[in-house]
Amino acid sequence: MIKINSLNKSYGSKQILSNINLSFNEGEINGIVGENGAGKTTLFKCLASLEQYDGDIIYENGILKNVTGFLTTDPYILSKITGKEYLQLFCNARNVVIDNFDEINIFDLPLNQYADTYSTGMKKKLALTAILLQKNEVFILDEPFNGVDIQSNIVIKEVLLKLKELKKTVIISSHIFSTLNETCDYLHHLKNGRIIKSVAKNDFKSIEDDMKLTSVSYQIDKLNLI
Amino acid sequence: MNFYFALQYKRVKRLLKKSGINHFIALGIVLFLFVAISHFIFEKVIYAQYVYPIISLSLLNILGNVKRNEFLKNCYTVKKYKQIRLLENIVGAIPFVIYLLFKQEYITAILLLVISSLLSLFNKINSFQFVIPTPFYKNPYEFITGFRKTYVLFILSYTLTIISIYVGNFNLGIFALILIVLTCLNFYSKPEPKHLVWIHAQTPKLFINKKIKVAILYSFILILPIILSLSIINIEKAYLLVIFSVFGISTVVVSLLGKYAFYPSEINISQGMLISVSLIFPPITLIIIPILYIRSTQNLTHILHD
Repeated sequence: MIKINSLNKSYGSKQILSNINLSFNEGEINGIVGENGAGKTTLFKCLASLEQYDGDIIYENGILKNVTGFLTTDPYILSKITGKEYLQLFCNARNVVIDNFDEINIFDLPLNQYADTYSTGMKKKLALTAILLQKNEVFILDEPFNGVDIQSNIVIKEVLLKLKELKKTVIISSHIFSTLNETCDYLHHLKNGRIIKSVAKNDFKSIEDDMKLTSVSYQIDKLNLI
Repeated sequence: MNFYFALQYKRVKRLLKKSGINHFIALGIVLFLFVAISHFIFEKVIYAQYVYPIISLSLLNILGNVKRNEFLKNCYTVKKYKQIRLLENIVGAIPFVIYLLFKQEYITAILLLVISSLLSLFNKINSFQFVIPTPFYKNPYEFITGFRKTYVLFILSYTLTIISIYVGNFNLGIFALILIVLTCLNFYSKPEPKHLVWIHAQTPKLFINKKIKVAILYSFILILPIILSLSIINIEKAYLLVIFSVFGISTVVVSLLGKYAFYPSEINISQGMLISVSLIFPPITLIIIPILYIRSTQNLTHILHD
Protein backbone atom coordinates (compact mmCIF):
# COMPACT_ATOMS: atom_id res chain seq x y z
CA MET A 1 0.00 0.00 0.00
CA ILE A 2 1.15 3.53 -0.77
CA LYS A 3 -0.03 6.27 1.55
CA ILE A 4 0.33 9.95 0.79
CA ASN A 5 0.00 12.21 3.83
CA SER A 6 -0.25 16.00 3.62
CA LEU A 7 1.83 16.29 0.47
CA ASN A 8 2.66 19.84 -0.58
CA LYS A 9 4.76 20.97 -3.47
CA SER A 10 5.68 24.43 -4.65
CA TYR A 11 8.06 25.98 -7.14
CA GLY A 12 9.25 29.15 -5.45
CA SER A 13 6.14 31.01 -4.34
CA LYS A 14 3.87 29.06 -6.72
CA GLN A 15 1.98 26.32 -4.90
CA ILE A 16 1.46 23.34 -7.23
CA LEU A 17 0.09 20.70 -4.85
CA SER A 18 -1.73 21.43 -1.58
CA ASN A 19 -2.38 18.99 1.20
CA ILE A 20 -2.76 15.83 -0.87
CA ASN A 21 -3.92 12.81 1.12
CA LEU A 22 -4.40 9.61 -0.84
CA SER A 23 -3.83 5.91 -0.51
CA PHE A 24 -3.33 3.32 -3.24
CA ASN A 25 -3.81 -0.38 -2.57
CA GLU A 26 -2.34 -3.38 -4.32
CA GLY A 27 -4.58 -4.86 -6.99
CA GLU A 28 -6.35 -1.55 -7.56
CA ILE A 29 -6.25 0.90 -10.41
CA ASN A 30 -6.51 4.52 -9.35
CA GLY A 31 -7.19 7.25 -11.88
CA ILE A 32 -6.17 10.86 -11.41
CA VAL A 33 -8.14 13.31 -13.52
CA GLY A 34 -7.92 17.04 -13.88
CA GLU A 35 -7.43 19.85 -16.36
CA ASN A 36 -4.05 20.56 -17.92
CA GLY A 37 -1.88 22.20 -15.29
CA ALA A 38 -3.91 20.81 -12.37
CA GLY A 39 -0.75 19.16 -10.98
CA LYS A 40 -1.14 15.54 -12.11
CA THR A 41 2.36 15.16 -13.54
CA THR A 42 3.91 16.93 -10.53
CA LEU A 43 2.04 14.55 -8.23
CA PHE A 44 3.39 11.59 -10.21
CA LYS A 45 6.92 12.98 -10.08
CA CYS A 46 6.63 13.40 -6.30
CA LEU A 47 5.39 9.82 -6.01
CA ALA A 48 8.37 8.66 -8.04
CA SER A 49 10.69 10.85 -5.92
CA LEU A 50 11.79 12.69 -9.03
CA GLU A 51 10.72 15.91 -7.29
CA GLN A 52 11.29 16.97 -3.72
CA TYR A 53 8.18 17.67 -1.67
CA ASP A 54 6.88 18.36 1.81
CA GLY A 55 4.83 15.68 3.53
CA ASP A 56 5.05 11.90 3.56
CA ILE A 57 4.80 9.15 1.01
CA ILE A 58 4.80 5.84 2.84
CA TYR A 59 5.45 2.53 1.12
CA GLU A 60 5.58 -0.55 3.27
CA ASN A 61 7.52 -2.89 1.00
CA GLY A 62 10.92 -1.17 0.70
CA ILE A 63 12.17 1.64 -1.49
CA LEU A 64 9.24 2.73 -3.66
CA LYS A 65 11.29 4.01 -6.61
CA ASN A 66 13.09 0.67 -6.98
CA VAL A 67 9.83 -1.12 -7.75
CA THR A 68 8.10 1.65 -9.68
CA GLY A 69 7.68 1.93 -13.41
CA PHE A 70 6.93 5.49 -14.48
CA LEU A 71 5.57 6.11 -17.96
CA THR A 72 5.92 9.82 -18.64
CA THR A 73 3.55 11.72 -20.94
CA ASP A 74 6.25 12.25 -23.52
CA PRO A 75 8.89 9.53 -23.02
CA TYR A 76 12.46 10.69 -23.62
CA ILE A 77 14.15 8.58 -26.26
CA LEU A 78 17.90 8.80 -26.66
CA SER A 79 19.10 9.45 -30.18
CA LYS A 80 20.89 6.72 -32.16
CA ILE A 81 19.58 3.92 -29.98
CA THR A 82 17.41 1.10 -31.27
CA GLY A 83 14.17 -0.03 -29.65
CA LYS A 84 15.88 -3.22 -28.50
CA GLU A 85 18.75 -1.28 -26.90
CA TYR A 86 16.25 0.99 -25.13
CA LEU A 87 14.58 -2.08 -23.63
CA GLN A 88 18.00 -3.48 -22.70
CA LEU A 89 18.82 -0.24 -20.84
CA PHE A 90 15.64 -0.52 -18.76
CA CYS A 91 16.20 -4.24 -18.08
CA ASN A 92 19.81 -3.64 -17.02
CA ALA A 93 18.56 -1.00 -14.60
CA ARG A 94 16.66 -3.70 -12.70
CA ASN A 95 18.95 -6.68 -13.40
CA VAL A 96 16.28 -8.32 -15.53
CA VAL A 97 17.61 -10.73 -18.14
CA ILE A 98 15.68 -11.09 -21.39
CA ASP A 99 17.14 -13.41 -24.01
CA ASN A 100 14.87 -12.58 -26.88
CA PHE A 101 13.19 -9.21 -27.06
CA ASP A 102 11.26 -10.18 -30.18
CA GLU A 103 9.23 -12.65 -28.13
CA ILE A 104 7.94 -9.97 -25.76
CA ASN A 105 7.25 -7.38 -28.48
CA ILE A 106 3.51 -7.13 -27.75
CA PHE A 107 3.04 -3.96 -29.80
CA ASP A 108 4.94 -5.28 -32.86
CA LEU A 109 7.44 -2.45 -32.74
CA PRO A 110 10.36 -2.34 -35.19
CA LEU A 111 12.86 -3.02 -32.40
CA ASN A 112 15.92 -3.03 -34.65
CA GLN A 113 15.21 0.49 -35.90
CA TYR A 114 16.39 3.70 -34.20
CA ALA A 115 13.77 4.51 -31.57
CA ASP A 116 14.03 8.27 -32.14
CA THR A 117 12.53 7.70 -35.59
CA TYR A 118 9.39 6.18 -34.01
CA SER A 119 6.09 8.05 -34.03
CA THR A 120 4.74 9.49 -30.76
CA GLY A 121 2.51 6.48 -30.20
CA MET A 122 5.31 4.00 -30.93
CA LYS A 123 7.62 5.77 -28.48
CA LYS A 124 4.93 5.50 -25.82
CA LYS A 125 4.41 1.82 -26.54
CA LEU A 126 8.17 1.21 -26.34
CA ALA A 127 8.41 3.03 -23.01
CA LEU A 128 5.44 1.08 -21.68
CA THR A 129 6.99 -2.23 -22.78
CA ALA A 130 10.22 -1.21 -21.02
CA ILE A 131 8.59 -0.64 -17.63
CA LEU A 132 6.50 -3.79 -17.99
CA LEU A 133 9.67 -5.84 -18.58
CA GLN A 134 11.18 -4.43 -15.38
CA LYS A 135 8.71 -6.51 -13.33
CA ASN A 136 7.67 -3.54 -11.22
CA GLU A 137 5.19 -3.65 -8.37
CA VAL A 138 3.89 -0.12 -8.87
CA PHE A 139 3.01 1.52 -12.17
CA ILE A 140 2.54 5.24 -12.64
CA LEU A 141 1.19 5.89 -16.10
CA ASP A 142 0.85 9.49 -17.20
CA GLU A 143 -1.56 9.62 -20.14
CA PRO A 144 -0.82 6.10 -21.42
CA PHE A 145 -3.55 6.25 -24.09
CA ASN A 146 -2.50 9.55 -25.68
CA GLY A 147 -1.21 9.32 -29.24
CA VAL A 148 -1.64 5.55 -29.33
CA ASP A 149 -3.71 3.81 -32.02
CA ILE A 150 -7.03 2.07 -31.27
CA GLN A 151 -5.62 -1.47 -31.40
CA SER A 152 -2.86 -0.57 -28.96
CA ASN A 153 -5.37 1.19 -26.72
CA ILE A 154 -7.19 -2.13 -26.44
CA VAL A 155 -3.90 -3.89 -25.63
CA ILE A 156 -3.05 -1.28 -22.97
CA LYS A 157 -6.49 -1.72 -21.36
CA GLU A 158 -5.90 -5.47 -21.25
CA VAL A 159 -2.43 -4.92 -19.77
CA LEU A 160 -3.92 -2.74 -17.04
CA LEU A 161 -6.49 -5.38 -16.13
CA LYS A 162 -3.74 -8.02 -16.08
CA LEU A 163 -1.67 -5.87 -13.72
CA LYS A 164 -4.68 -5.54 -11.46
CA GLU A 165 -5.11 -9.31 -11.51
CA LEU A 166 -1.42 -9.67 -10.57
CA LYS A 167 -2.06 -7.43 -7.52
CA LYS A 168 0.08 -4.60 -8.80
CA THR A 169 -0.60 -1.01 -7.78
CA VAL A 170 -1.54 1.12 -10.78
CA ILE A 171 -1.99 4.86 -10.86
CA ILE A 172 -2.94 6.45 -14.18
CA SER A 173 -4.01 9.78 -15.56
CA SER A 174 -6.07 10.18 -18.67
CA HIS A 175 -8.43 12.60 -20.36
CA ILE A 176 -10.36 9.77 -21.95
CA PHE A 177 -13.17 8.95 -19.55
CA SER A 178 -14.26 5.80 -21.38
CA THR A 179 -10.88 4.15 -20.74
CA LEU A 180 -10.93 5.22 -17.10
CA ASN A 181 -14.45 3.80 -16.73
CA GLU A 182 -13.34 0.46 -18.05
CA THR A 183 -10.15 0.15 -16.02
CA CYS A 184 -10.17 2.20 -12.81
CA ASP A 185 -11.48 1.23 -9.40
CA TYR A 186 -11.24 4.75 -8.01
CA LEU A 187 -11.05 8.21 -9.50
CA HIS A 188 -9.53 11.27 -7.86
CA HIS A 189 -10.30 14.73 -9.21
CA LEU A 190 -7.33 17.06 -8.93
CA LYS A 191 -8.06 20.74 -9.35
CA ASN A 192 -5.64 23.61 -8.80
CA GLY A 193 -3.34 21.27 -6.89
CA ARG A 194 -6.00 19.91 -4.54
CA ILE A 195 -7.95 16.66 -4.53
CA ILE A 196 -11.52 17.94 -4.58
CA LYS A 197 -13.28 14.62 -4.98
CA SER A 198 -12.44 10.91 -4.71
CA VAL A 199 -15.05 8.42 -5.86
CA ALA A 200 -15.50 4.68 -6.38
CA LYS A 201 -16.57 3.17 -9.71
CA ASN A 202 -20.30 3.81 -9.29
CA ASP A 203 -19.81 7.57 -8.99
CA PHE A 204 -17.37 8.17 -11.85
CA LYS A 205 -20.07 10.04 -13.74
CA SER A 206 -20.23 12.71 -11.05
CA ILE A 207 -16.59 13.65 -11.71
CA GLU A 208 -17.13 13.59 -15.46
CA ASP A 209 -20.14 15.89 -15.06
CA ASP A 210 -18.21 18.23 -12.78
CA MET A 211 -15.37 18.49 -15.27
CA LYS A 212 -17.69 19.07 -18.20
CA LEU A 213 -19.59 21.73 -16.35
CA THR A 214 -16.64 23.72 -15.06
CA SER A 215 -14.14 23.16 -17.83
CA VAL A 216 -16.09 22.93 -21.04
CA SER A 217 -19.33 24.93 -20.93
CA TYR A 218 -17.91 27.81 -18.98
CA GLN A 219 -14.78 28.12 -21.12
CA ILE A 220 -16.62 27.91 -24.42
CA ASP A 221 -19.05 30.61 -23.27
CA LYS A 222 -16.05 32.91 -22.82
CA LEU A 223 -15.47 32.84 -26.57
CA ASN A 224 -18.88 34.46 -27.24
CA LEU A 225 -19.32 32.36 -30.33
CA ILE A 226 -22.22 33.48 -32.53
CA MET B 1 18.91 36.50 -41.37
CA ASN B 2 20.69 38.96 -39.08
CA PHE B 3 18.23 37.98 -36.37
CA TYR B 4 19.16 34.32 -36.80
CA PHE B 5 22.87 34.93 -36.31
CA ALA B 6 22.25 37.37 -33.45
CA LEU B 7 20.14 34.66 -31.81
CA GLN B 8 22.91 32.07 -32.22
CA TYR B 9 25.36 34.50 -30.61
CA LYS B 10 22.93 35.04 -27.72
CA ARG B 11 22.50 31.27 -27.29
CA VAL B 12 26.25 30.73 -27.06
CA LYS B 13 26.56 33.62 -24.59
CA ARG B 14 23.77 32.16 -22.42
CA LEU B 15 25.40 28.73 -22.49
CA LEU B 16 28.73 30.19 -21.43
CA LYS B 17 27.07 32.28 -18.73
CA LYS B 18 25.39 29.15 -17.39
CA SER B 19 28.79 27.43 -17.28
CA GLY B 20 30.26 30.44 -15.51
CA ILE B 21 32.68 31.43 -18.27
CA ASN B 22 33.11 34.97 -19.55
CA HIS B 23 32.57 34.92 -23.32
CA PHE B 24 35.76 36.85 -24.05
CA ILE B 25 37.78 34.36 -22.01
CA ALA B 26 35.99 31.49 -23.78
CA LEU B 27 36.88 33.02 -27.15
CA GLY B 28 40.51 33.27 -26.04
CA ILE B 29 40.56 29.63 -24.89
CA VAL B 30 38.93 28.41 -28.11
CA LEU B 31 41.41 30.37 -30.25
CA PHE B 32 44.35 29.09 -28.23
CA LEU B 33 43.17 25.47 -28.44
CA PHE B 34 42.45 25.81 -32.16
CA VAL B 35 45.95 27.09 -32.89
CA ALA B 36 47.56 24.55 -30.54
CA ILE B 37 45.70 21.58 -32.08
CA SER B 38 46.33 22.83 -35.63
CA HIS B 39 50.02 23.24 -34.83
CA PHE B 40 50.11 19.73 -33.35
CA ILE B 41 48.47 18.22 -36.44
CA PHE B 42 50.90 19.90 -38.81
CA GLU B 43 53.88 18.98 -36.63
CA LYS B 44 53.03 15.39 -35.81
CA VAL B 45 50.65 14.06 -38.40
CA ILE B 46 51.76 12.84 -41.75
CA TYR B 47 49.72 14.16 -44.71
CA ALA B 48 48.43 16.89 -42.39
CA GLN B 49 47.50 19.01 -45.42
CA TYR B 50 44.85 16.36 -46.22
CA VAL B 51 43.88 15.34 -42.70
CA TYR B 52 43.33 18.97 -41.65
CA PRO B 53 40.64 19.86 -44.25
CA ILE B 54 38.94 16.49 -43.62
CA ILE B 55 38.63 17.42 -39.92
CA SER B 56 37.19 20.79 -40.92
CA LEU B 57 34.62 19.22 -43.28
CA SER B 58 33.66 16.60 -40.66
CA LEU B 59 32.88 19.41 -38.21
CA LEU B 60 30.88 21.32 -40.83
CA ASN B 61 28.93 18.16 -41.55
CA ILE B 62 27.32 18.54 -38.09
CA LEU B 63 25.50 21.61 -39.43
CA GLY B 64 23.80 19.32 -41.94
CA ASN B 65 21.74 17.69 -39.18
CA VAL B 66 18.39 16.76 -40.72
CA LYS B 67 16.12 17.98 -37.90
CA ARG B 68 17.97 21.28 -37.60
CA ASN B 69 17.65 21.87 -41.33
CA GLU B 70 13.98 20.93 -41.37
CA PHE B 71 13.43 23.53 -38.66
CA LEU B 72 15.34 26.18 -40.63
CA LYS B 73 13.38 25.34 -43.79
CA ASN B 74 10.15 25.79 -41.85
CA CYS B 75 11.24 29.18 -40.55
CA TYR B 76 12.77 30.75 -43.64
CA THR B 77 12.16 31.09 -47.36
CA VAL B 78 14.20 28.82 -49.62
CA LYS B 79 16.50 31.70 -50.57
CA LYS B 80 17.09 32.81 -46.97
CA TYR B 81 17.64 29.22 -45.85
CA LYS B 82 20.32 28.66 -48.50
CA GLN B 83 22.00 31.95 -47.57
CA ILE B 84 22.09 30.94 -43.89
CA ARG B 85 23.55 27.52 -44.65
CA LEU B 86 26.17 28.99 -46.98
CA LEU B 87 27.19 31.68 -44.51
CA GLU B 88 27.37 29.20 -41.62
CA ASN B 89 29.64 26.89 -43.59
CA ILE B 90 31.91 29.70 -44.73
CA VAL B 91 32.19 31.10 -41.19
CA GLY B 92 32.93 27.59 -39.90
CA ALA B 93 35.61 26.96 -42.53
CA ILE B 94 37.38 30.33 -42.31
CA PRO B 95 39.62 29.56 -39.27
CA PHE B 96 40.85 26.40 -41.03
CA VAL B 97 41.34 28.29 -44.29
CA ILE B 98 43.36 31.00 -42.51
CA TYR B 99 45.59 28.38 -40.88
CA LEU B 100 46.09 26.62 -44.22
CA LEU B 101 47.07 29.96 -45.80
CA PHE B 102 49.46 30.53 -42.91
CA LYS B 103 50.98 27.14 -43.74
CA GLN B 104 51.19 28.21 -47.40
CA GLU B 105 48.80 25.44 -48.47
CA TYR B 106 47.05 27.82 -50.87
CA ILE B 107 45.37 25.27 -53.14
CA THR B 108 44.08 23.22 -50.19
CA ALA B 109 42.76 26.40 -48.58
CA ILE B 110 40.85 27.41 -51.72
CA LEU B 111 39.53 23.88 -52.20
CA LEU B 112 38.38 23.74 -48.58
CA LEU B 113 36.47 26.99 -48.99
CA VAL B 114 34.81 25.78 -52.21
CA ILE B 115 33.90 22.33 -50.82
CA SER B 116 32.60 23.89 -47.59
CA SER B 117 30.35 26.17 -49.63
CA LEU B 118 29.11 23.25 -51.73
CA LEU B 119 28.53 21.21 -48.59
CA SER B 120 25.90 23.76 -47.55
CA LEU B 121 23.70 22.37 -50.35
CA PHE B 122 23.62 18.92 -48.75
CA ASN B 123 22.27 17.65 -45.49
CA LYS B 124 23.29 14.52 -43.66
CA ILE B 125 21.79 11.37 -45.04
CA ASN B 126 18.86 10.41 -42.87
CA SER B 127 19.97 7.16 -41.34
CA PHE B 128 16.35 6.03 -40.89
CA GLN B 129 16.95 2.64 -42.44
CA PHE B 130 20.56 1.93 -41.64
CA VAL B 131 21.50 1.12 -38.07
CA ILE B 132 25.25 1.27 -37.48
CA PRO B 133 26.19 -1.96 -35.69
CA THR B 134 28.18 -1.72 -32.47
CA PRO B 135 29.58 -4.37 -30.13
CA PHE B 136 28.17 -2.46 -27.14
CA TYR B 137 24.48 -3.47 -27.23
CA LYS B 138 24.60 -5.29 -23.88
CA ASN B 139 25.31 -2.11 -21.93
CA PRO B 140 23.46 0.90 -23.29
CA TYR B 141 23.84 3.74 -23.75
CA GLU B 142 26.91 6.04 -23.85
CA PHE B 143 29.13 3.94 -26.09
CA ILE B 144 26.28 2.89 -28.39
CA THR B 145 25.06 6.42 -29.10
CA GLY B 146 28.55 7.92 -28.96
CA PHE B 147 30.02 5.40 -31.38
CA ARG B 148 27.18 5.88 -33.88
CA LYS B 149 27.46 9.66 -33.76
CA THR B 150 31.24 9.71 -34.21
CA TYR B 151 31.95 6.60 -36.28
CA VAL B 152 33.74 8.74 -38.90
CA LEU B 153 36.40 9.59 -36.30
CA PHE B 154 36.95 5.89 -35.63
CA ILE B 155 37.36 5.19 -39.34
CA LEU B 156 39.82 8.10 -39.44
CA SER B 157 41.74 6.83 -36.39
CA TYR B 158 42.10 3.31 -37.70
CA THR B 159 43.10 4.63 -41.14
CA LEU B 160 45.75 6.80 -39.51
CA THR B 161 47.02 3.73 -37.64
CA ILE B 162 47.38 1.81 -40.91
CA ILE B 163 49.18 4.78 -42.48
CA SER B 164 51.44 5.06 -39.41
CA ILE B 165 52.46 1.42 -39.81
CA TYR B 166 52.90 1.79 -43.56
CA VAL B 167 55.18 4.84 -43.28
CA GLY B 168 56.79 3.72 -39.99
CA ASN B 169 55.58 6.77 -38.04
CA PHE B 170 54.88 5.56 -34.50
CA ASN B 171 53.82 9.03 -33.31
CA LEU B 172 51.02 9.08 -35.85
CA GLY B 173 49.72 5.84 -34.33
CA ILE B 174 49.85 7.40 -30.87
CA PHE B 175 47.92 10.37 -32.26
CA ALA B 176 45.24 7.95 -33.54
CA LEU B 177 45.02 6.41 -30.06
CA ILE B 178 44.67 9.85 -28.46
CA LEU B 179 41.96 10.74 -30.99
CA ILE B 180 39.93 7.71 -29.89
CA VAL B 181 40.40 8.57 -26.21
CA LEU B 182 39.25 12.15 -26.85
CA THR B 183 36.22 10.84 -28.72
CA CYS B 184 35.33 8.41 -25.93
CA LEU B 185 35.57 10.99 -23.18
CA ASN B 186 33.21 13.16 -25.18
CA PHE B 187 30.56 10.41 -24.82
CA TYR B 188 30.11 11.59 -21.24
CA SER B 189 29.92 15.29 -21.95
CA LYS B 190 26.13 15.55 -21.95
CA PRO B 191 24.08 14.46 -18.93
CA GLU B 192 21.10 12.21 -19.60
CA PRO B 193 17.64 13.16 -18.28
CA LYS B 194 17.10 12.42 -14.59
CA HIS B 195 14.53 9.75 -15.43
CA LEU B 196 17.18 7.56 -17.08
CA VAL B 197 19.27 7.55 -13.90
CA TRP B 198 16.22 7.20 -11.67
CA ILE B 199 15.16 3.91 -13.32
CA HIS B 200 18.15 2.10 -11.79
CA ALA B 201 17.36 0.09 -8.68
CA GLN B 202 20.96 0.36 -7.54
CA THR B 203 22.89 2.23 -4.89
CA PRO B 204 24.95 5.16 -6.21
CA LYS B 205 28.14 3.15 -5.66
CA LEU B 206 26.88 0.16 -7.63
CA PHE B 207 25.60 2.45 -10.37
CA ILE B 208 28.92 4.29 -10.70
CA ASN B 209 31.02 1.11 -10.41
CA LYS B 210 29.08 -0.48 -13.27
CA LYS B 211 29.48 2.65 -15.39
CA ILE B 212 33.24 2.71 -14.73
CA LYS B 213 33.56 -0.98 -15.61
CA VAL B 214 31.75 -0.43 -18.91
CA ALA B 215 33.77 2.72 -19.72
CA ILE B 216 37.10 0.92 -19.13
CA LEU B 217 36.10 -2.20 -21.04
CA TYR B 218 34.61 -0.45 -24.05
CA SER B 219 37.38 2.19 -24.31
CA PHE B 220 39.85 -0.67 -24.23
CA ILE B 221 37.98 -2.53 -26.99
CA LEU B 222 38.13 0.59 -29.18
CA ILE B 223 41.86 1.20 -28.71
CA LEU B 224 42.81 -2.48 -28.79
CA PRO B 225 43.25 -2.67 -32.60
CA ILE B 226 45.73 0.25 -32.39
CA ILE B 227 47.62 -1.23 -29.44
CA LEU B 228 47.92 -4.65 -31.09
CA SER B 229 48.93 -3.45 -34.53
CA LEU B 230 51.48 -0.92 -33.25
CA SER B 231 52.90 -3.42 -30.73
CA ILE B 232 53.53 -5.98 -33.43
CA ILE B 233 55.46 -3.46 -35.51
CA ASN B 234 57.23 -1.69 -32.62
CA ILE B 235 57.49 -4.16 -29.76
CA GLU B 236 60.29 -2.13 -28.14
CA LYS B 237 57.91 0.85 -27.83
CA ALA B 238 55.00 -1.21 -26.49
CA TYR B 239 55.53 0.30 -23.02
CA LEU B 240 54.58 3.70 -24.48
CA LEU B 241 51.32 2.25 -25.76
CA VAL B 242 50.57 0.84 -22.31
CA ILE B 243 51.25 4.22 -20.68
CA PHE B 244 49.11 6.13 -23.20
CA SER B 245 46.31 3.55 -22.92
CA VAL B 246 46.23 3.57 -19.12
CA PHE B 247 46.21 7.34 -18.86
CA GLY B 248 43.82 7.66 -21.81
CA ILE B 249 41.28 5.34 -20.23
CA SER B 250 41.76 7.11 -16.89
CA THR B 251 40.80 10.36 -18.59
CA VAL B 252 37.64 8.72 -19.92
CA VAL B 253 36.83 7.70 -16.33
CA VAL B 254 37.47 11.30 -15.20
CA SER B 255 34.98 12.49 -17.82
CA LEU B 256 32.39 9.93 -16.66
CA LEU B 257 32.82 10.81 -12.99
CA GLY B 258 32.82 14.51 -13.85
CA LYS B 259 29.39 14.10 -15.41
CA TYR B 260 27.87 12.48 -12.33
CA ALA B 261 29.78 14.63 -9.82
CA PHE B 262 28.00 17.70 -11.19
CA TYR B 263 24.85 15.91 -12.39
CA PRO B 264 22.30 16.96 -13.61
CA SER B 265 24.09 20.16 -14.67
CA GLU B 266 25.70 20.35 -18.09
CA ILE B 267 29.49 20.39 -18.35
CA ASN B 268 30.77 23.42 -16.43
CA ILE B 269 34.07 25.20 -16.08
CA SER B 270 35.21 23.03 -13.13
CA GLN B 271 34.49 19.79 -15.00
CA GLY B 272 36.15 21.15 -18.13
CA MET B 273 39.20 22.19 -16.13
CA LEU B 274 39.51 18.77 -14.50
CA ILE B 275 39.42 17.00 -17.85
CA SER B 276 41.90 19.49 -19.36
CA VAL B 277 44.30 19.07 -16.43
CA SER B 278 43.99 15.27 -16.75
CA LEU B 279 44.83 15.48 -20.42
CA ILE B 280 47.80 17.80 -19.93
CA PHE B 281 49.17 15.97 -16.90
CA PRO B 282 47.64 12.45 -16.87
CA PRO B 283 49.18 11.24 -13.55
CA ILE B 284 46.89 13.70 -11.77
CA THR B 285 43.96 11.39 -12.60
CA LEU B 286 45.15 9.24 -9.69
CA ILE B 287 44.11 12.08 -7.37
CA ILE B 288 41.13 13.39 -9.36
CA ILE B 289 39.38 10.02 -9.79
CA PRO B 290 38.89 9.27 -6.05
CA ILE B 291 37.71 12.83 -5.39
CA LEU B 292 35.19 12.73 -8.24
CA TYR B 293 34.10 9.21 -7.28
CA ILE B 294 33.14 10.33 -3.77
CA ARG B 295 31.41 13.42 -5.09
CA SER B 296 29.48 11.45 -7.74
CA THR B 297 28.17 8.86 -5.29
CA GLN B 298 27.13 11.60 -2.87
CA ASN B 299 25.52 13.60 -5.66
CA LEU B 300 23.45 10.68 -6.93
CA THR B 301 22.09 9.77 -3.49
CA HIS B 302 19.06 12.05 -3.88
CA ILE B 303 18.10 10.37 -7.17
CA LEU B 304 18.97 6.75 -6.46
CA HIS B 305 17.98 6.86 -2.77
CA ASP B 306 20.77 4.84 -1.18
